[in-house]
Parts: sequence; C-alpha cells; structure tokens
Amino acid sequence: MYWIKKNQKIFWFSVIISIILIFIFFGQPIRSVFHSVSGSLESWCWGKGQNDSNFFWGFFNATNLKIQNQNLKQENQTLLNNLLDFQELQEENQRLRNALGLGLAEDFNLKEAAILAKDATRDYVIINKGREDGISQGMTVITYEKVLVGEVTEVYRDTCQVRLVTDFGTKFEVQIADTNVRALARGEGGEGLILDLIPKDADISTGALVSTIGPEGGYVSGLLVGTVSETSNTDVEPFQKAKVNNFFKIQDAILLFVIIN
Amino acid sequence: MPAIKIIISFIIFYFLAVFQAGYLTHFKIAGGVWNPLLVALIFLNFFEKKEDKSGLIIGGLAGLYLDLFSPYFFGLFILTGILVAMAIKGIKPLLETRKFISFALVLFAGLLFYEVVLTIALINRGLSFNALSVVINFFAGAIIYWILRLFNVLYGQQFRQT
Repeated sequence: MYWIKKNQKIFWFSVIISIILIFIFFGQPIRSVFHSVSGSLESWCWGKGQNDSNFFWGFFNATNLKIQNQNLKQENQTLLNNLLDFQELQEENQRLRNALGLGLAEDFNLKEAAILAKDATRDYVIINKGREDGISQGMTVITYEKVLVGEVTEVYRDTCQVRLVTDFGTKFEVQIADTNVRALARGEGGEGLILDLIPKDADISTGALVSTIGPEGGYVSGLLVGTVSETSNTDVEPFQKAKVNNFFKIQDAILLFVIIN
Repeated sequence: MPAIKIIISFIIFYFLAVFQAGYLTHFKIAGGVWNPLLVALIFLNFFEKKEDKSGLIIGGLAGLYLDLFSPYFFGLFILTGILVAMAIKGIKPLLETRKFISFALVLFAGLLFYEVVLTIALINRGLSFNALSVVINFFAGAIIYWILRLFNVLYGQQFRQT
C-alpha cells in the first residue's frame, strides 16, 4: 500500500497497460465465454424480437399489405403458368442428379445455425455454431434457398460472428443473369448492397437476378444475392451502378447454413 | 453502497445488453435504434452523488457489454462509456440538477458525444454519424425521466444529495 501511494503514477500506468493487454489477448475468449453462457437467452430474445417486429410491421403497413396482396395474386397466376414448364425441367434435373450422384448435401457440407444477436452499428450477427461444431474463419453462410448471407469473421467456442454481405466495405464479384455481365458488389451498410463497375454499354434490366460467380469472386458460384432494383447510368461516371434488392432479409431469417467444405 | 450499485448494475446491464442485441435490433428506424445501456449510463451518472465515483466503473461496465456484441476492437466501447461518464461528471457542477432542462441538456450532450466518439473512432470503417439514433435515445431518456419523476424516484435521489 505504501509503495502504491508513493508511486501512484507507475501504479496507474501499469493498471492501464494491463487492461489494454487483457483486451488485446483476451477479447476473443471473453466474447466466447459470454456467448456460450447467454446463448439460450439471446436466442429467445431474437425469436421474440423477430415475431414482434413482424407483427408491428404488419400492423403499421396494413394498407401496403392490401396492395402487395393484390400484386402477389397476379404474380401467382403468372408463376403457376411457369410452374408447369418448370416441373418438367425439375424432373429431368432430378433424374440427372440421381444419375450423377449429386444433391444439395453433396454440393456443400453444411452446418445448420440460427442467429442469436445483431450488432446495432454494423451488419454483423452472432450465430449459434462455433469452433466445436467445426466452424472456422472465412466460411460462407447461406440460407436453405442458397441465398448468400455472409462470411464467418470471428469464431468462438459455441458461437461465431458473421459479417453480412451488406456490411460497409464488403466487396465480391457477381454476375447478372441472362447478360453474362460481371459486376462488383459492394456492401453499403444498413442492409444495403450496390453493384459497381458495370460496363456502360451493358443493358441491365430491373429485376435481373444477381448471383455469385465462383471462388475468384470471393464466394462459391451460383449463390443467389438478389435482384437489380434500380440502375444509374450517368455520363459523368465511367461505369454503371445498380442497387440490389437483397433476397436475405434479417427479419425473416430463421435458419442459416454454414458451408463447411 | 457503491459496491452494491456496481453489482446490481452488472446484473441489470447483462439483461439490457441481451435485450438490446437480440430484441431491439429488430426495431431499427432508418438505422437508428434505442440503446438502453447508454441511456442507463447517463441516468446513473447524472443522478449520482458528487463524491460517488462508481459512475465511471458503471460507464466501463456498460461499454463492456456493448463490446461483447460488437465486431470492433475489444475495449472501444469501454473507453467510450468511461469518457461519456467523465464528461457528465465534468459538466454536472455547472448545472442545476433538479431541473428537467439540465437533465435534457446532459442527456443530449451525452448521446451526441457518444455518437461523435464512435464516428471519429470508426471513420475509416465507414460508420457515418447517425442523428436519428441520438433523437430516438433522447426521447426514450426523456420519457423514462418523466415516468421516474412521476413515481418520485428522482426526487428522492435529489433530496438525498442535498
């Protein structure tokens, strides 16, 4: 005690340095233990929040829902017509898959996961699978419909942190369906995604499907990203830009899959 | 007494942090979301006795829980929480703490300070200043203030201080 009183400056300096070192070396283990302990409570809160937000969204958007319902009915009629054609193709596809021994499970080695929490300032989520489930940094996360969700950035014992593709600063190459046009997808934050570096002469239509193109682009090929919702082609810019309507909506996400292989 | 306050805060903040990251995150309005940990930290520091310094530890605790759910460098929110607590303690002697306007001023300044610190610290990672977040938290804090005042909680605290 006498030594501390005499050398207060050295004491406090040592305390601060120790705390900084703890943060540097034990930040990840602290997060790991915390999420292991409170995983079930986080999961319960996430489920409740999802249900309640869906309820309130429906409550405050009742007028929009009516219009949306009418549009969906019309769309449904069109899709039913298309379905007849697709059924035939699907049967053929299934026959070929069986013959070649291909299936979703053969395509990817998947690990099922659920969201526990989301960071308020960035597009990062915590999911309930971690090191003990074979998860490692850099693995891709998708939905059951093969929609791209993001990438594992930090792994804890029972949980891990996933950076969504929409987080500010993410970059990966994509292809716009039916055009063979490649573009650079950039996360805008706030669950927004834009396409950049689209050649000026490319004819991009609204509603065109956007998908990943392969490992050189950052993710495995054929994962769905979304549809083009808005294009911008001005003379002052060397390339076209487009906004993407993401297929992955965090409020609707129930089950995710981590690609293990 | 300060030790009990810190222990109680530690437990309550745990539930607030899980509630914030798991539940409230679904209720974002244009990127802005209610941050109950930050509001609680401002409340506790504002209505704390002059000689009591536990508000600084409570600031660190609130930051610790925010850090656990964040993708940033561990310790960033702890530092921010302590800085917010220190700023409130610094500004408090200049104000008449019994008036709502004083509380409103400190609440607004605290929220603004928190957002500015975050924006500066993370400027290279693309986090822009979120004014709506300040507005949402300000209204949430003001509503809680009046509810507590209605139940005389804050008055009791004020009488003890004098």
